[in-house]
This record gives sequence, structure tokens and C-alpha cells, in this order.
Amino acid sequence: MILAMDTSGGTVVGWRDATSGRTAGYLSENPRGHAETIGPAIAQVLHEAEVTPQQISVVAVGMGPGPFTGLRIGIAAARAFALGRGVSVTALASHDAIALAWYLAGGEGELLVATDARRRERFWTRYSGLDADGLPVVVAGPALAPATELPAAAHAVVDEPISPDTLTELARRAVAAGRVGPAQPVYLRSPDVTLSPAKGVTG
Amino acid sequence: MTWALRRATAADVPDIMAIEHASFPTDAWSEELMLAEVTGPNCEYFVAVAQDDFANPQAPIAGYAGLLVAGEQADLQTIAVREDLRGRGIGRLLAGHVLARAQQRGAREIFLEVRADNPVAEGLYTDLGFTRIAVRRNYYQPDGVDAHVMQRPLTEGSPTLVQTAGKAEPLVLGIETSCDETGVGIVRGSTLLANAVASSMDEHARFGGVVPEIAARAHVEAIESTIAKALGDAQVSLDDLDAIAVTAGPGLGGALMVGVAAAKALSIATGKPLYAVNHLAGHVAADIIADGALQLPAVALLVSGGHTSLLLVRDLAGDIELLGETIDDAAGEAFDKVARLLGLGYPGGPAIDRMADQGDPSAIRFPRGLSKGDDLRRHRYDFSFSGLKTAVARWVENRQAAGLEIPVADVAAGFREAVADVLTAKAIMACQDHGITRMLLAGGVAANARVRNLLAERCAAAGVDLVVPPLSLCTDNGAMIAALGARLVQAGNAPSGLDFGADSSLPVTTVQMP
Amino acid sequence: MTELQETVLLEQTADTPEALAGIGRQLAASLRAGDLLVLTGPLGAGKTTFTRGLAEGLNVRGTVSSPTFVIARTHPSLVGGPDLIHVDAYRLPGPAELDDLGLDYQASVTVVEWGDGYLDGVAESRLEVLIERPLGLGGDLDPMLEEEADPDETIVEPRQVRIVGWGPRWAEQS
Repeated sequence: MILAMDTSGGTVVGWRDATSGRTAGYLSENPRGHAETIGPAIAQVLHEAEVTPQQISVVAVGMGPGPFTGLRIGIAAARAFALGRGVSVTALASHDAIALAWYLAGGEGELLVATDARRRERFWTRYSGLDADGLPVVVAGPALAPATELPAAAHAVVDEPISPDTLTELARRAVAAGRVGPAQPVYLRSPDVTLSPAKGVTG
Repeated sequence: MTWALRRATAADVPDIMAIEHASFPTDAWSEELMLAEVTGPNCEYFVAVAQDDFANPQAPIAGYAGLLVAGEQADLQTIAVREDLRGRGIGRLLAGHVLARAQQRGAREIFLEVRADNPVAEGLYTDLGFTRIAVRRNYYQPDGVDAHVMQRPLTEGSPTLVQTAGKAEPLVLGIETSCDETGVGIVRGSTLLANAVASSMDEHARFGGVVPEIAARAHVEAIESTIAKALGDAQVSLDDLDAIAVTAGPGLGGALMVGVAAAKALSIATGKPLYAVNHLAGHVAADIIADGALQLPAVALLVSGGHTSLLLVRDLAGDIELLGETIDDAAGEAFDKVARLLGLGYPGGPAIDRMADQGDPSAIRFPRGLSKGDDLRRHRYDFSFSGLKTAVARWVENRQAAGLEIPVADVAAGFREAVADVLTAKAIMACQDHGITRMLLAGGVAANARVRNLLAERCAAAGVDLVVPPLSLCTDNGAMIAALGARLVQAGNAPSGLDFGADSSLPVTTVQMP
Repeated sequence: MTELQETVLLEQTADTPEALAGIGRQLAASLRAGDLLVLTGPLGAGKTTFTRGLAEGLNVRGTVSSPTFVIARTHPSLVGGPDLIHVDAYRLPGPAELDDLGLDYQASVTVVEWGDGYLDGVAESRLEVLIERPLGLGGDLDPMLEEEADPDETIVEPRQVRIVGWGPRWAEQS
């Protein structure tokens, strides 16, 4: 069973039983308050799915792009949940979920996905379609651009929220194909920091 | 079967009502009334659960009792045990705890009413030291049964608080991300098992101070491995834990949120109860690890880069009073800014120390803020270091303008002396004013030898016992948060919910967020 | 780029810290959720003192102290009004880092110490509060030479306060 979450925009948590196709989900479009909502969101989804945490074998999370403040909440939660279950985290590109929804709904051809990046800018990724594994093919991006200077594309989906069901479906396809998503959070704004490895403090 | 007690919450009311109706078929309280009692500010309600089930919020309730304290009088509002579990000492456990709690809260006598047709209950109360003092005819309606009013004085010799209220030595994992450190620690009661810290301190040195967004990003990267390291060091598994504790505030909002999110997810994934706690109370809890148990009441002097406060701690699990705090800069911040002024690098505390050790602390006298006249009157336990900082700046500028050399060692020594002097003087004054003979030192600046030594000197002279945690527990760390969580579990506090957020200005009077 | 309209709202001398806080307290009455303030002045000018008065006027929880270490501190309103976000940009490398804090400007009054340039583009209007210590006063006070001066006495120096509004919000105000 798959538990997926994404806080690159609002708060999205989804569950899916890959065998039966049953799903459950939580979506809040509020771009704030992720730290408050992520706990009840995960609990509610598991409750609605009528499953225990022990039954979750895949933990997936959207790695962005997204405004850093919200994005880190989902990533921290997913990593901790995965640690609690003894599984590794499956990384997903947040825009891929939006693209997948569009193509699954019958969309064809080139697609530009754009989401809010604050400061009157947008994150964008350009796609050409789905590949043999049913995963969106990235042609350009993700990148950051002023809202008024987005690249041209045949079709565009702007500020569309991620749906829990599409997120878990994306996770299912990615795991089935053995595909690895972005290893690091996609912030697209510097600076980055390297950490000294955790050390035990004696005494 | 061992029974444990914890504070009742609104979520317990339905189960309580089931017992209420079964125990008092003709005059049960309404659910509205019970809810008001349980959640109201004037009463404390306790429920008994099987000790092994203590961590489970859905564990069946074996019994409950309510306490009301008004000044020096207390009332045992109600007490009931599930019918199939009577005769096992649960009632006695609940009643004894209520008595001890009433006494702890300052009541000198406690009253209760019992039905005249319940000799078993009245026998229990007589055993516990109550005597019948009055009869209220036809008190219980519609039955028309008399009420026997009973009273017991609360003096020395009252039962001590039930030791099994909450588990005696809970195994707790604490997560701390309020600033630049990602800290995860594990304690068993007051025993330290692990203290793992991932520090981005080196990176911060480049920026001359804490740069929070870098810190918050670093937390996201570090949180998993730091949790894993702590578990490895303590040689326990997540499944062994009794509870998880996390700093909810105060601190840097963005950094706090990472720990909060991780702790919530970990709590759900493992089924362990979660306690959202106050960072300042956490610093005081570091002294539990040092001292084995906190002897209270005590005055706590908390000094760090972000905080300088004097606290009166009566009960770490829920009774901390803020006596005073800085009205401008924190002491640690003053060290950082003056170090930068003197060109001494970051972090400022150790840099100032190295210089000051070679200087004469009495060569230059810098101002002790809020120590005289009107200032002292209006801000007796408050601190102010901004004036000190600008006095040092002005002194140095004047020297430079006059073309004179700057005696950096003497300036550092004089500055350090001013800080140590005012911190220790006010802390001792707080003890003496309140008749308290125990002082706890906490926070990163506790690592400063001059502050520590001067405080030890003055405490000894004033007859005050001083507790200082080991240096590794003075700076922000997860072990102190774990120790605080353990204390809350022991006190029988109900776990926090899942919807609390990070609170960058959480007041110290809120030890645990609901 | 259109020039923002400048409106001078106040030019006043505050003789004591209390008076400086008082200016902040009075200003609070004109503020509402979404307002941004940039505080500029040298080290020790009284930016935090001014903010303390502002907090009192807004009726928010908690003691206002220097947020240099915590960078940003949110004081919730006690009266259902806007929260106060108190920011110290002293250690932020640039506006992008301020933005990354994800502060809820719309629901709050936001005060940024050392914030010159950090709030550009965040909103249409903002207030600038400039606090200066007039030159020469107290400049030659040397604790080591002044034998009679009590070193612990707080030196009270007047401050020059100038409040300027930028943008349409403040043009309407006056």
C-alpha cells in the first residue's frame, strides 16, 4: 500500500492500494499552515482507508518545485514516516503529478505546468507526453521565471492543485518502473548548505 | 495488573459517561456537565487505565475522579470505578492521588459527599482519613437519599503523589529543531541514553551568525539520520519507545516546523504518543539529566543566544512562572555582537572568553543594565544588554577617534564581567525575594566559565544550591526535550494532539501544547 | 518603473526611550493587516524600543525583544486584530531569504529592522521609519574618564524620528 504526500502548494496526502485500486485522500489548497495540517491529514487518510501504518509499504513525497517553506514540511514528514515504517522514501517530481492528471484526462501534446513561486514568479516544467511506463516526459525545466515571462507551449496548466489520487498513481507507476525521482528537494533558489554528519555527544 | 493515572481530556468524556451512568443510574451528570467539568479551568479530572495501555489514547478507562481546589479548600467532586473492576484498589488509587494533588495545590482541607446508602464508599473514605461532619437530608433526588458530608484535613502525612501516575521511567525520544541545531536525544526517565546533534555551525560561521533559512534546509536533510543515530547510540528501537517529544516553540518558525512535521509523522507511523513542548522548559529539563530529579521549587536562569530569562519553576510539568526576561538583546546575542565589534569572530562567547581571560575585568567598568533606581524598580528581574553593547561600541569608537590603541583583552574582560555581574546578581535576588534556595542554570551561555563560576560563588555565599547541566546539554539539544517529555509522561499529562503548529513566541507558561 | 509616491507622515524628536516607544504606540492606531514597516537606524538607535511601543498599541502577546537571533518572531493579537511579525534582517544575506521565511504578511503588521531594500516588490506600499541619534550628543562620554558619572545609569539621549510612507496606502492616509 502506498502513502504519498506533497506540500509544494497546499497540503496533499493520498493512499492507494495498488492491488484493489482503492484510494483515499486529503487535499487542502491553503498555501500556509502545512505544519498544522500534515499531522491530521495523514491520520485522516489512514483512518478513511481503514488501514494501519504497518500496512504501508511505499512512502512517496513530492520533492518540488515549490516554495521552500511549505515544501520542507512534506519532505520532513515523509522521511520520518518512512523511518517509522522502516522503508525508504520514493521521490516524486511535484509537477509530474499535475502533468499526469492532464494526460490521463485525455490531454495530448506539449504541456507547460506552472505553479506559484511567490515574488510574482512561477516554477514551470514542460512535458511532451507519457512514456512507455506511463510517466510524464520532461522536455525542459523545472525552472523559475517571472509570471509574465513563462515559455510558450501548446497547452498550459497554471496553479492547478495536485490531486491525492493522481499523486498515488504517479507513485505506483514510478515504483513499478523502478524510476528514481529528484534526490534533493527542488528549491531552485540558493543557497544550499552542507552539514557535518550527525555526531553523538558524550557526557 | 498495574494501573496508571493520567489527566482526563474531552476525548475521554464518552467513556467516562458510560461509567457515570452505570454507577449513578438515578442521578448521573449530563454529558454537557461532565465535559464542562473535565475541560474547565477550575477542576482536574483523572482517569485510570492499565499501565501497559498508558500510551494508547483509546485504552479503556477503568475509573475516574475529579478535584476542585478553591484557595485552601478542595472538593472531591466525583469518583467512580467500572463495576467489573471494583475491588482492585483503583478507587483507592484515584482518591489518594486527588488528596495528594489537592495538598500540592495548597489546599488545607478537602470535602466530599457520599450517599448514605453507600457504606462501601464511606468505608474507603474513612480509611483515607475522612470523617463525617454533616448530613444533608434527602440530598440525592429523586431517591430521597441523604448525603453524608465528609472532611479531611490536608497536612503533613498526606499520601504522596501516586508514583505510578504515568510510567515511572518512560523511554522517550526528543526532537529539537528550534534554531541551528538538529538535535535528537533519548532518555529513560532521567537517565541519558543518547544525544545526537547535527550542526551546521561551521556554515554559519561563514555568515557571522545564525542564518535561519539555511538552518531550516539543513534540518530537512539531517532529521532522518539524526533520529537513526540517536536510536543506534541508545540501542533501542522505535518500538521500544513510550513517547516522542518535540519542540513546538519558541524559536525560528521555519526551523521548528521541520521538527514538528517529522515528529507528527513519526508518531503516526509508530503509534507512539506525541508531546509538543516548550523549548525554554526543555532547557530547565536538562537539569533533570544532571541531577537525577529536579528538586523544586527552584529559580531557573536561562541564558542563550536567543533567550535570557529568569523563571520560577514549581512544577516542570505545568507550573512555570516568568519572573523576568530581556527587554532588548539576549546575553548570547550581546556576546556575538560585541565579538563582531571587536573583530573576534563567531561564535562570540568562546571568542570573548579567550580574549577576556588575558584581560583585566576591572580595568573598564561598563554599565549593568536595569540595576539602579527607577529601572530596577520597574524591571526588577528583567535584563537589558543593548545599553551595554552600545557603551562598548562608544568606548571603542572614542578611543579610535582619539588615535589610541584598543586594549581588546581588557574591553572583552570588562564586558564579560558586566554580563556575568548582572545575570548573577538578579538571579540571586530572585531566589532571596522568593525564599527559594535552589537555582538551575540553563542555556548555551551556561558554557561560559565566568558566568558559571561567579554564579557558583554567589550562590554559595547566599546559601543557594546550584545545578548546572553538563556542557553538552546546555546548548540546544534533543536530550533535554526527551527529558521534559519523560517528566510530562510521569506527571500523567495527556499527549498532545496532531494539529498543533510551530509557535515562534510560545510563552514559557505553556509547557505543553494541546 | 513607476515611482512610488512619497508621503511624509511624521518628523519628531523623542527625548526619552518612553517617548520613542510612545511614537510607536500612537502609530499602531493607523495600522492594519498587510502593512509593512522598514526600520532603519544605527546599532542602539532604538528600533526595538520603537517596536515595543508599536506592539503595545496593537495589543499583541509576548515581550518584544531583539529578534536578531531568531530572525523573525510572530506576536499573536490579543484582540482579534493583526498579528505583529517582528523581523531582524541583520543576518539575512538578501531578500530571497526573507521571502523564504513564508511570513503571512496579509494577516499581520510586519516590522523589519535593518530591512532597507528587503521589502521591495512584496507589496504596493510600505512605511519607512528612520531613527537617528543626533551627532555629537553623548559622543564624548568616556566611562573611564568620568569619575563622578554612575556607569550603570542609563544614558538618555534624544532620537530624531522620521516616518515616510511610500505608495498609495499612505498617500490616502494623509
